[in-house]
Amino acid sequence: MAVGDYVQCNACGGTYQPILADGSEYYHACPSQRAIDDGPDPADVTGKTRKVKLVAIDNRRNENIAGVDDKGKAIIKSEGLGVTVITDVSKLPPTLTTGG
Amino acid sequence: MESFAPPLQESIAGQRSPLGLYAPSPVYLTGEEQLRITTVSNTAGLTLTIAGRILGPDNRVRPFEFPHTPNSNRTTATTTIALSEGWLLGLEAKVTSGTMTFGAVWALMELVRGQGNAARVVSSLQSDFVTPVSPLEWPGEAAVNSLESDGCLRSIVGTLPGAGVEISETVPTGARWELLALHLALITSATVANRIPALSLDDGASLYFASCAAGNETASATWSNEFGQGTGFSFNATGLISNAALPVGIKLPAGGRIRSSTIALQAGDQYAAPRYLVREWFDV
Repeated sequence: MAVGDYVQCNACGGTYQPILADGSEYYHACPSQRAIDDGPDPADVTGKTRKVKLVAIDNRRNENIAGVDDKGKAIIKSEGLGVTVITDVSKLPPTLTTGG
Repeated sequence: MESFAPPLQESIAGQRSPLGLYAPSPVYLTGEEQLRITTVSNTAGLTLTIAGRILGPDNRVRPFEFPHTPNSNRTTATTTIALSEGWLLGLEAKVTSGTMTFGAVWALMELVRGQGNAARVVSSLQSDFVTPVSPLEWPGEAAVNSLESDGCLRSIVGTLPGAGVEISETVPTGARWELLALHLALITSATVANRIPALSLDDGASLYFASCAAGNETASATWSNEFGQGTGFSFNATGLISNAALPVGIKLPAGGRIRSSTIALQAGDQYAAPRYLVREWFDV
């Protein structure tokens, strides 16, 4: 990985830079749950509101260091489902690069 | 009858003391001690150069120099070199290559006897944060541990979560953070609801602080949620800006989390990648 590279977490869908612009390393850890749509809210006669259900994110990734092996290489806390390297930066969400 | 010890005579630099000891330094090396440098860092691509001088029993000064590469993940890195017999006159360690900010490298210099894990510390010489222009020196000022100083100021862009997912940032292993400010943009979907973003701080499990937006954030808009030390609470529904306070000086331990927790977050709502400013120290 180099400064400017992006990856996407295969467990939570989060996108991030493992090496930040200042050269420091960034360690991603997945949030615990996501909100999913659970259909129209029956209490709302206008039909404009929706019910939301919170579901757990499984196989969460946590890149923080749990320790080092015999060769001094860092071992992360949880691999989760791994990451996918984003090679086409034009596909990055604008909210990542602009801050929203 | 009172008795008095004879008054101590001060030795004069370069001359023998009354006991016949020539003491140009408080540290005499037998040739069995080694110099060990230990560093902790959060920045890649740095190299330190450690230099020193030893006055040998033959009255000749022997300079020495060696490199050391810190780890960039806040785990400790050590380099140990053997020292010849004589008086240790001085030591200096500074960053000689790489780009860094103050507080990104902390170093400790020790004298040890023995090898590897069997090494025993004879003397802790000096410790402090090191930069290219402010070296770690022995003899020098009082030792500084890795939780002192102004800390390393870091501006971090966190993880852009998926839709309907809260932000969650974790204090890295080996770090201690003080959260100074955080910018959190919420792009709300068209679903009608009054979202209220809150920012919570926890130790990895137990929540110990939460601060929430001062108003309802409605559908189909991009809301800026600003959390900062010393900030008051305010809400501007026209400018789509919410300001909320963080406690001044609050510290987060390694494994602690900075999370959003949003009332009425919708499945299509999207947080931008959080941007935040922290002071970082090394908790080693």
